[in-house]
Formats: sequence, structure tokens, C-alpha cells
Amino acid sequence: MRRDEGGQAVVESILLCLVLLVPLIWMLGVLAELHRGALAAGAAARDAGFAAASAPDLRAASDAIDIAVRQAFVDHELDPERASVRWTSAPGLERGGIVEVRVEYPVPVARIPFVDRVAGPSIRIDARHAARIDPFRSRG
Amino acid sequence: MKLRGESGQVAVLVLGFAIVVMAVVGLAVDGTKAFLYRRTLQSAADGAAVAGASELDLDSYYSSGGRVVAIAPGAARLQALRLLDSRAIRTTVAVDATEDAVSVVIRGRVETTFLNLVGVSAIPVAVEAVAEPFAGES
Repeated sequence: MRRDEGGQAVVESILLCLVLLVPLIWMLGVLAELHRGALAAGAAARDAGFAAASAPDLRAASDAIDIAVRQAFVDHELDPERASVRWTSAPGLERGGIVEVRVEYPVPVARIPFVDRVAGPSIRIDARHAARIDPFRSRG
Repeated sequence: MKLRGESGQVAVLVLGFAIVVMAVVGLAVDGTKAFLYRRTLQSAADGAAVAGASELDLDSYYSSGGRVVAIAPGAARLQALRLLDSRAIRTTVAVDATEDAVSVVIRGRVETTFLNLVGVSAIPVAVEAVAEPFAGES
């Protein structure tokens, strides 16, 4: 005797939609986080570059970069402690030189609703900004 | 009246839904790539324009007692290109420098991943930045 197949199509549709919908929602969530991380890292690199380019010495430039990066990530409601910053200035901080700031931020791929991120792989967002030190700026 | 068979309806539904999902994912992934690339280019263009605009015509500046702040176009262009070189920007770059402003236009293309399946192999991206000098403290 054949079993009644009534309603099977509905159940199968729901199951298959879930199989497609869950990865879709997860991916869109990750992309949204990538956008947020990219905006934060970009803003951090840009602000830090301009701040360092107008600093009077290397110590002040380092402090200005830390403050700018921290502020940018806090503004985007992201943890600034997870960001890594590297910067170079050649030649030194002399007028007309170039300061380059590179900010990296790992965007976690695995997240659980209401729990936030969990340990797992992450995508590293990279942002760089090069700023020229004003050749006419007075020092000290 | 005899009902038509429902066999295969789910397959059609799933296929249609999968196409919609792939389109959304494709737009999201490739759109994100284009967005991130555009952001990188905009940052480079901004820095280059500001760097170029800091190359002033010193003769006119000193002879006017600091009242005339004009750009030295040749040096400004070189400075903007130098900064772009330092960032290894390998795209189409146009730097236009006058005595009043420096304009940097960068054009690039983002190779697509999902949209390539429907014949869109790349997304063109163009950014522009303009910087003008001014006298006094920033």
C-alpha cells in the first residue's frame, strides 16, 4: 500500500529552502561584517596617517596613530584591541616625507546568534593610507 | 475532474529559489569586492591629491609675502605620482595639476567571481580626489 504523499511537497520545500536560506543569511551577515570592518580599518588608516603626518616627532606620531585607530574602531563599535597597526615614515618625519599606515583587522567568519563570534577562521581586512608630511609645517 | 500530477514541483521550486539565491550571493560578493577596491583607490587618490597640493610655487609665495598660495603644477604632478607609486597603484591614473588645484582620477576594474557566470567579467571602478592649497594653519 502506498503511503499518502499529501503535504510532502510542502515539507520538502521548507527543508530545501532552509538548506539554501541558512547559508545565504550567514553569508550576508559575514559580508555585512566585512563592510563594517573595512570601513573601520579604512577610517583608522586614513585618520592615523593624517595624524602622524602632522605630529612633531616619532613618539607623538606613534601616540597619535594609536588614538586615531582606537577612536575609529570604537566609532564603528568594533574592538580596537583586535586591530594590528604598522606604520613607516621615510625619511623619518622630515617635512615632505611620506607616512604610511597599515591597519589589519580580522573579521570572524563563525558567529552564533546571541553569543557573538566564536573561535574559528577569520578574514583579514587590510587598509593602508599614505600621507605626505606638509613641507611647510613648523616643527616643535 | 482528475487532478494533475504534482511530481517534480519541488524540483522546479528549488531550482527557481536556487537561482535567486545565487543572484543575491553573486551581487553581494562581487559588490563587496568592488566596494573594497573602490575604497582602496579612493584612499590612494585622496593622499595623492593632498600630497600634490602641498607642492607650492615658492617664488610667488615669497614674493607676495605669503599672500599668494599657488601650486607648482609640474612638481605637484610628480609628487602625486610619487605617492601613488609608494602604494603600488597599478591602474589608469590621471593627474591634472593647475595653480589652483590638483585632481587625481584613478580608474580600475574588479574581476568578478559570481557575476562572471552571467557574462559580467569585471566591474569598472573610478574615483576622483581634488585638493586645493590654502594659507594658514589646518
